[in-house]
Amino acid sequence: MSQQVELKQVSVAYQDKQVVKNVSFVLENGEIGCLLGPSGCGKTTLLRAIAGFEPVRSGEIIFNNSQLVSSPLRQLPTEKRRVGMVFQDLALFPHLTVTDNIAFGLRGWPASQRRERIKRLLQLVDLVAVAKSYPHQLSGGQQQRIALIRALAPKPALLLLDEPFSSLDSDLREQLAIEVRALLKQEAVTAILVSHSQSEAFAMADKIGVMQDGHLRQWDTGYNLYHSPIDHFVADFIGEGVFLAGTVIDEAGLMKTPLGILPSQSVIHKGSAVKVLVRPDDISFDPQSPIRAQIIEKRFRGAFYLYRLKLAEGAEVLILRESHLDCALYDTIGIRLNERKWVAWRT
Amino acid sequence: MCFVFALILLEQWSRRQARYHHSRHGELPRYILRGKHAVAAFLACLMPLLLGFLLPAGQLFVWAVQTGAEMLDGEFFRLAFNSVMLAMVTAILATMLALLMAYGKRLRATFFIRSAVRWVGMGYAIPGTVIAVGVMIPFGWLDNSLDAWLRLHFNFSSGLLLSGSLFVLIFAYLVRFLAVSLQTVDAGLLKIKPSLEEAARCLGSSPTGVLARIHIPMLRGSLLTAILLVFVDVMKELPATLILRPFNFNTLAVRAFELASDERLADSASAALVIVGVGIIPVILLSFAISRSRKRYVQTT
Repeated sequence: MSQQVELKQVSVAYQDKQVVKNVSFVLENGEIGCLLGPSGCGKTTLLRAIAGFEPVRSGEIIFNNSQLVSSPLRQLPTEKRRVGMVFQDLALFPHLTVTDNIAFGLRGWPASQRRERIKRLLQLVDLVAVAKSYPHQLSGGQQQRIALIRALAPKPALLLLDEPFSSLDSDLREQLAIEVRALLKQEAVTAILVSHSQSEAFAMADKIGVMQDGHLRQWDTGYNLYHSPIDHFVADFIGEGVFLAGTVIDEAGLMKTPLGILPSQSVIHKGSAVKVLVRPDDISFDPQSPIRAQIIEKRFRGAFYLYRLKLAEGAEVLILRESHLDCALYDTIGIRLNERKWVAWRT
Repeated sequence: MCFVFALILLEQWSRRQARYHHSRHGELPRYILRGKHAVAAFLACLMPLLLGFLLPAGQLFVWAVQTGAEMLDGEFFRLAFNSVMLAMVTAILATMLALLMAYGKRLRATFFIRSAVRWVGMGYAIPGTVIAVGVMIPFGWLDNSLDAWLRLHFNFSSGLLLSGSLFVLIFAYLVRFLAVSLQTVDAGLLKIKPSLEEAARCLGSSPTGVLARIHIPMLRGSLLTAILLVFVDVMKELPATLILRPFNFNTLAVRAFELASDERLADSASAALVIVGVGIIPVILLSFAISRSRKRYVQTT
């Protein structure tokens, strides 16, 4: 049914402008991947190349270990790739009812199976009631679900989703992302999502690729992107945090920083100047701690306050604390570092 | 004529970059006028109708009643049939060709295809007489060569196979009026978002399938309009018909012209009136159909 997808050194260009540069990744059978990045980073173009709408300038796209679908010399037509796609504008056919929209890809199925499949899908998204309606009679969320099940109906080997939630309110967005993930897992379909929202990516995806300026910076789980980003761009793009200046003081990679002596994740030459990534959740409040800092900014986040603290030497860090335990601005408090290996880069 | 070509090229160039896509066939907003504004608007719209249509048509009608008994014979109905048949065949061919060209351009917008389609649109700027002579020369040559070759080898004369038949007439009509259907179909096609096409491709349709299952149903209004416009244009066409019609083949327009140029204005009234009438019936029918097909897709957002 479903399948693995592999990209090898894929580049895509419009005329002379290279939009996707040497992207490689593997998405295993049944996994949900997400291409995440700021607008104009090439993520939608890459998705369109996988769908077969854009030719690749170099590299290969391979389905299921062996089926070459895109290379500079060969481009399998979209209709032969067995990919489903949910478009940013949903692209429901305005001249067809919901049922006929879903049935569009079921040509050649026996009538009874087709009816059964449509009914089952409508039940899955709880929209049996609108089967006879036209798309324009549905709400945004309903149109969204219909576009999704229309793409799933012919049991595609790979499902592509191009910013599928961008037209919805943010409330609906996260809820739908979770629903859609459950549905995709139920249908056991391999899927690739394009998004610029990390909360959407975290809610949906098993693997996330962060793109910048046509390059795929890192292809990893959400947890690793957050806690072990590969470079400054990824660290900055994903989550919150600050970069503290430090120096490597021995061969084992111990670093001297405003927060004390910290072990580094990677081996860096002794004497190198480094910047160390410190996330808000790397630090805890501790009244007994010798490290003292002053609160210089606080932001209400609902369950948490996000505080910006100024250390004695002038460096700043972020910290989260339950909003019940409210601290006053300009108070001086004690903080403690959580045990971990720290992410650092040479500067 | 060069001036006209230049203008057309300029217009097409100015729209080169613009791309409009709407998925919504919107209902146009309705603005209701009241009081003296309503009366003034009504009169302003009535004037051209009155002076340009009702008055001359009324005069024709009076003449037609006077001469009708004599003019409406079997010959007259045969001419009417000729006209309608020619116009219908041409209109359907022109619309099918226009759909093919417009879709081809959309699928593969290479420089060659775009220029070729643009040239097709130039025919409308050329007078019918010029087109008639223009198509006569190559087809006449082709026919004569074929005839000579057949006579030489088979002792058999094919005569003027193409240039002596309706083929060359319909061909000339197509050269002249393809621009009309192309313009209409192209404009309709531009309103269909590419994502609909891509969605259909993902769901297993080939480009031909997309044409049949997405474009043609959604373009119904535009296709009917294109057929109508070409139909009416062919009904009225005179100069090319005069030159290219086969012997003993006449249309209503030719008949009306011949009678009128013999100063038999009253006798020509029946033919003229039928042309006007035929021109008007599809206008009414199709404007209903078009407004209905628009309403079907009205979107609420």
